[in-house]
This record gives sequence, C-alpha cells and structure tokens, in this order.
Amino acid sequence: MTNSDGVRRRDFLKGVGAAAAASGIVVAEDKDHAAAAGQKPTSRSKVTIALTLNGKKKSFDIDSRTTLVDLLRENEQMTGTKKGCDQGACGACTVHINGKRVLSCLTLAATIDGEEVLTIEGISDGETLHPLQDAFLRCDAYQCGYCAPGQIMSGIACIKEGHAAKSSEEAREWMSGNLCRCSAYPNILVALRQTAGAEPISDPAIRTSPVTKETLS
Amino acid sequence: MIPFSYEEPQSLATACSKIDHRDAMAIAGGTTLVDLMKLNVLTPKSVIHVRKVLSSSVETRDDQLVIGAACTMANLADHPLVNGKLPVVRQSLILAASPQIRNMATLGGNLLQRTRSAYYRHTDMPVEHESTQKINSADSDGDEFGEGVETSLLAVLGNNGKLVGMYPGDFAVTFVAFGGQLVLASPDGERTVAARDFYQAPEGSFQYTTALKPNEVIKELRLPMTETLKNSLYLKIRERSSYAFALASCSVGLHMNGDRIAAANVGLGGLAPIPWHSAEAEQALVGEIASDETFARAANAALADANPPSGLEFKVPLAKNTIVRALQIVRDRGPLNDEQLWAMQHGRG
Repeated sequence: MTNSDGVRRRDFLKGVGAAAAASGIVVAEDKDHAAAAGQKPTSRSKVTIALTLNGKKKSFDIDSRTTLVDLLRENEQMTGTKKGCDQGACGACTVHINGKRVLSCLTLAATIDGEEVLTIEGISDGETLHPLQDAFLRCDAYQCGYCAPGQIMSGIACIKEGHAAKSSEEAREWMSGNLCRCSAYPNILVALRQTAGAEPISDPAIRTSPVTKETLS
Repeated sequence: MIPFSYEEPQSLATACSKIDHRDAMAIAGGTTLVDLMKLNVLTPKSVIHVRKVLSSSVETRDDQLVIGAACTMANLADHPLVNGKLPVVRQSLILAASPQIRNMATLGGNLLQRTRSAYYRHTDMPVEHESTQKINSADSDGDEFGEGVETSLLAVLGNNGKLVGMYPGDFAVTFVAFGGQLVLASPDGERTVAARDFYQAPEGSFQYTTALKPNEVIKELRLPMTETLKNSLYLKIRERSSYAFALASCSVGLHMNGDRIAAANVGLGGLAPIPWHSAEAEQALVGEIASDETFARAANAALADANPPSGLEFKVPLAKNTIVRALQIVRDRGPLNDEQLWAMQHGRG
C-alpha cells in the first residue's frame, strides 16, 4: 500500500490545529454531502444478495454501503440486534454467520452473499426460550438490557466453542468482546456458566441459608 | 460513508488487476476497511472482495508454516499445527481484538491494519502537519503539538524524531520477529518479500507504508518453523486485561544450548510505527548465558534509540520490563498453555 490516503482530504483543514480540531465533531452529514458531491452513486453501488436469515431464504436489493446490522434493523425491522458503538468496540451487534459469532456493524452485507445469518430473533423455539435466554432472566444478567442480545449471541457461541465451562477466567476472556455499561458482568458470567453446565442452575439472588442477624451484619 | 461500487471478481488475477489500494481497495473481513470507511478516512471509489478468491488453508511445506491470506485469525489460532505447538503464534492471535473480530479478520488484512491514533482516525486532524513535527523541538513555532497533544497511540521507537502513529497489531510482531515472509500476487506473477522489508517506517507520512504495489495482493504468509518458535511467548501489557491494544508487547523465542542461548527472536509491539524486529536485542542474547543481566542488556539494547513524545516516557521502562519478563518466563517456565495465559492476564502467575 502506498499509503497516500489521508493527505488530500485534510488539505483544507491544514493549520487548524489539533486542539481546535479535537474540540468538536464536525456534523457527519455535511462532510458526506461535500465529499459525495463530485462522486454520484453509480448503478454498481447497488447490489443484490441472498441470505438464509434465521432459517428463511431471503433476497435483498441493497446499497453497497449497507452493513449487516443496518440490513437487519432498517430493511427487515428486526431490531433485536442492537447498534451500540457501530465501530466494532462493544459487541452489542453480535450475530452468527455460518455458525460463528461476528460483529454485524463491521460486516459489509454485500460480502456475505449466500451465507447463513442467525440473530437473537432466531434462537428460541417458538415460545420456548433458548436456555441462555432463560438463564439471563433467572440470573438477572442485565440492567438496561441493551447489550443483552449481543451478550446472548456471543454467549451461545462461547458455550459451543467450549470456552464457557472450564475456568471462569477463560469464560471472561472469551466474552471480553461484549461490553456492558451497567457492568452486569458477574450475573452474565453466572448465566453463561450455568447454561454451559459449569455451575448448578439457580437464582444467584436467592440465598441457600436463611437470613439472620449475623448474615446481615 | 461515500458511495462506492462493489465487485466480486471470480479469480485472484482479475481482483489484482482491479485493485490499486487507493481508489480501488481490497476487502476481506472488513474489520479495518469498513470501520475507516464509516469515518470517511478511507474513501475508495470501488471495493473489491478478495476473500473468496484467496486460500484460507494452513499447512506445512519445506519446514515452513504456510498460511492462506484469507485464513481468519480464529482459524489459525485453533489450527492443529498451531494450537499447542507454536505458542507465540497462537498467543499473538488470541490476545488480539475479540472473539467476534478474530472470526472475521483475515491474516492478510490483519497485517495491514492501520494505526489507531486519533490523528489518523479523525478526518479533521491535520495529519500532514503532524508528521513533519519534531518531537519536543525547541524551534517549534506553535504549541499545538506540545502541551495537549494526544500522544497515547503514537510511536516511541523508530519514529525518526517525529510524531507518527503506532502500529497497533499483535500477530505482525510475531511475524517479523520470527522471520516471516509474504507472497504477493499480481497479474504479472508472484514475488516473495520478507516481512521485515515489507513494512517501511514513515518518511514524511503519519504512518507506515508497505512494499505492496498497486495490483498486488497478499496471497500467502510463510513462517519458518524454527526451534525458537516452539519455545516462545507473546507477552502483552495493556490498560485492561482483555480486548485492548498493547501499551507494550513482546514476541520472544529462545533456543537453549545448555545454559547458553543458541538462538533468539525478539519483536516489539505497541511501540513503533511498524511491527518491530529488534536485531539489537537478539544480538545481545545469542551466545550468552540466559541470566537476568543478559536479559537486561538485551532490553536496554532494544530501547537504546527510543525517542518518546512528551507523555509517553513511561513506555521506555515499561517496554524494557516487558522484554525482561517475557524472556524470564520462557527461560523459567517454558511455553505457557492457555490456562496459564488466562491466569497471567488476570493478575495471577
């Protein structure tokens, strides 16, 4: 790569100064419009792809820029998959492609033509929840719940990969791609490890011994 | 994101002929490209999908580990030729990014990941100005690059006295340290380039360049299966125990002859604008007794030319201690298994 990128686009801002530039984020739409003015979408910026989405074959006519998370949420109105950071840092958008957990926000939909996508909407058996969904309810493994679909999709893969049932350190390591701003990590870990069979199924909030003056003090 | 045309060529030769790495960029996993296109930092007119026309196989050939460029980080880390056999290779893969990203990112793309510095990732940053700015220079005409400069992801080693972006990757550190080679394909045929020559330190630019020419695509990675590769470690120091870029990292391998070091490999991450091979550290190790004193000499040799921007001075002793500790672990405990690695990552052992 000749690494010539990044010079021309910055010429007009030369001399602005780092401190000033860092003080605010320029409105993205304005930049898009300015840059796109000389570069009209061509017919080839539209693509047609076929996916097996939660077991059903579907075809999509999409803009080439469409990421998988946008295809799910905007085109299919499947809003279970959450858009958190939209830059591959938080894991809220985790789905499975061909059985492997990936980030749908960094997946250009055009690149997965013909592949199988599984989302949070596709893991229950009708009204019967997936065991990990059940465990999240039982263990209260969330507060606001925004990261939960990503945690559950990542957790299902983590269990399948064999990283959830050994040490809790290993489980934590292999779940580190999913952030939780409410920091519900202890209960997420318990839900994951109960589902993986590493810990007995129970509600971590229920004490096994009676509450006494001594246990409260 | 700027509109672009999308193409899926049916052969590698066709793909190569279309790709110039400027207006027509290659996409495989997309973990770097899609991210930077959303930020309008990269604005290709066309995007060429290469994952399906590249091999993703892993095999041994002539005492070399041969990796197809489309192999994902996860698949290489879990491959029977790597898992349990080549510790530093597995460790520099599984300590990078997150499980989701490792399932997506291909090795070819991973080698080319861009600096994470805000001066590259923000389109308002006057990067050109930055790259010619001398570190802590007395003749600086303004103070915008002195106090308040965001230095956290800038290079402290091999920066030629300039503010340049740090190379953030992990696997490439191992790849240069252990003498990896790249097979580059083009419509004219193939050529092989040593990883140590592939990466070129910035000269007048904010970050590294590579030997990759327009119409060339990384086709294959080759890693010699040396004795040092089997007795090796990747030690990564970061601000949280997982899913973070390295503050300093070290790929080391030792081949012992009694208590003397017969062969050594040392690579450094999180410090330089390119994945850093420390020939100086290796020279200080080979033929010597594997003592703490020898290790300290190697660490000092590796960082002798460090030139940290203001605020990054801590990285010099941090890097030295990382090198010494990595060498001690290989000497005293030998290769670590995953369980020992997690224990270490979480502050035990």
